Amino acid sequence: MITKERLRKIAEKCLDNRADVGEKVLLDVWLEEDEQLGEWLENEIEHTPSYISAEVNERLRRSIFSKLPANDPEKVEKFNIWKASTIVATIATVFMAAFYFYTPSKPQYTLPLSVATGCGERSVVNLPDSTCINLNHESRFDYYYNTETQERTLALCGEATFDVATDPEHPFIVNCNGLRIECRGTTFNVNGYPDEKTVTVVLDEGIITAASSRQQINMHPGTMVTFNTQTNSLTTTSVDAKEYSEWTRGYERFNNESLDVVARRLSRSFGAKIHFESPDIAEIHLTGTLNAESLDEALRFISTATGIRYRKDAKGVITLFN
Amino acid sequence: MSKRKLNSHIAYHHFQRIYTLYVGRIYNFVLKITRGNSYLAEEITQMVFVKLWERIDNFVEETDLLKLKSYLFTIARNTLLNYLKHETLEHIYLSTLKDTSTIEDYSSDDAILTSFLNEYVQTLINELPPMRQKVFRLSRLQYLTIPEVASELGIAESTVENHLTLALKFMRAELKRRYKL
Repeated sequence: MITKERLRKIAEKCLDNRADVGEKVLLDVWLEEDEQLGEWLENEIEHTPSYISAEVNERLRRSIFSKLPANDPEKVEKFNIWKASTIVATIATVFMAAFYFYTPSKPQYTLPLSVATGCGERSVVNLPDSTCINLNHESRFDYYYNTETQERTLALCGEATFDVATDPEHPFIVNCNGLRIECRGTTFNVNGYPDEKTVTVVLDEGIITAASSRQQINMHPGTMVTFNTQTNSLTTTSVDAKEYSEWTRGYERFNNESLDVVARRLSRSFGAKIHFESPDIAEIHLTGTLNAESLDEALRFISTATGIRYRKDAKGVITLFN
Repeated sequence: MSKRKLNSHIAYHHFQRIYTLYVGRIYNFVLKITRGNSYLAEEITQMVFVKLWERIDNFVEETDLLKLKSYLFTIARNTLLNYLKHETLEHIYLSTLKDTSTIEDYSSDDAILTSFLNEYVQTLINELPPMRQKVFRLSRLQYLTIPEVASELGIAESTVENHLTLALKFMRAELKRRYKL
């Protein structure tokens, strides 16, 4: 019968790399097979606190679920239901997290700071660390500051330009639709509306890292990374970075954008519904800067540039036609 | 809803409950034993739940929730021992073995036992099938990690894990017979 005393000695030898092969095998057998040890380990895990930050929770969920579906269509189906319900779970976690923030025993977490804009609204927010955020139409962010690790984390839904206060020691992290952007003091623009298939990041100054669950890119000024939310892939292109933050000065900039995207952007600015009479109109591409006071003015410009006509019905719904 | 669909729905439900209950605990436990390595904590947590999902089809009955839970612990234990052997052993040593009180002195017996044991284990290793023997030697005598063994021999990591589990099962059975382990 092997005693705990003997196991202790073997464990000491193993940890010092002094154990013989026989002792190692004996210890391995105990480690992998012993029932009492199994129960003990179970107990240890059961009594480990289950709290994890919303950010880690989100990252784990994403990385685990991107690996789940395998090749089994039935599993994929399950995966989708699961995905929907985890959104609820995530919201619940945020609430639970908020609950934690109130308990005096967990002082290291602060309440998230949340700002949201409606259509036609824009907002300029200065964070306590003097980071400046310009929030575009129909966008929202939740900002978390961990006073213990001093990590700054922000979840973005929509479009925003960031001028991040430099702190080489502590990263500033933006999460948007599955894309993770990490920086330590830079200016950049992120565009990721939930109804678009991509998230784009344009870097104006400094260095940032953009990462999906599959890939990671170190970005340089004057480049744009496009993240495809369906395939999780990242692509880089060279751009004039200033063009992508023109909206902060009241302009709308379109870079070879399809009318489809243009229409969604106009809806966000002016709150109108825009339809296409035939789908091929949506495929027309447009480049230019728009400085329009009203929807009518914007539509007149587009009509002049593309030759497309438009009409407005009694409810204010716009239809574009040839 | 067809029987099969209903079953997979139940299994999925079990998985969801176990995931919500334990994802944080497993993450924090690995964080603790690695002294705050969040990268490893994420990797291991990921591995555990992906493995659990791979076997989810065995837990399709309403009553399988507890079985799934104990299966989670088995996977967690194996994953920890396969990928974080040193850290796990250190944790076990510090929290349960270190303070073992000595009633009798076994030191002289130990020395004799160890030399016999070594010889005996060597013969047991030689009895393993060729591939299993290779995997075992690379992993336990040359301390290669599982991914290293897999690339050295050109086989899948899961195959390596299987070989190791079976090799140890065999040795346990033999040692049990001889030493009443």
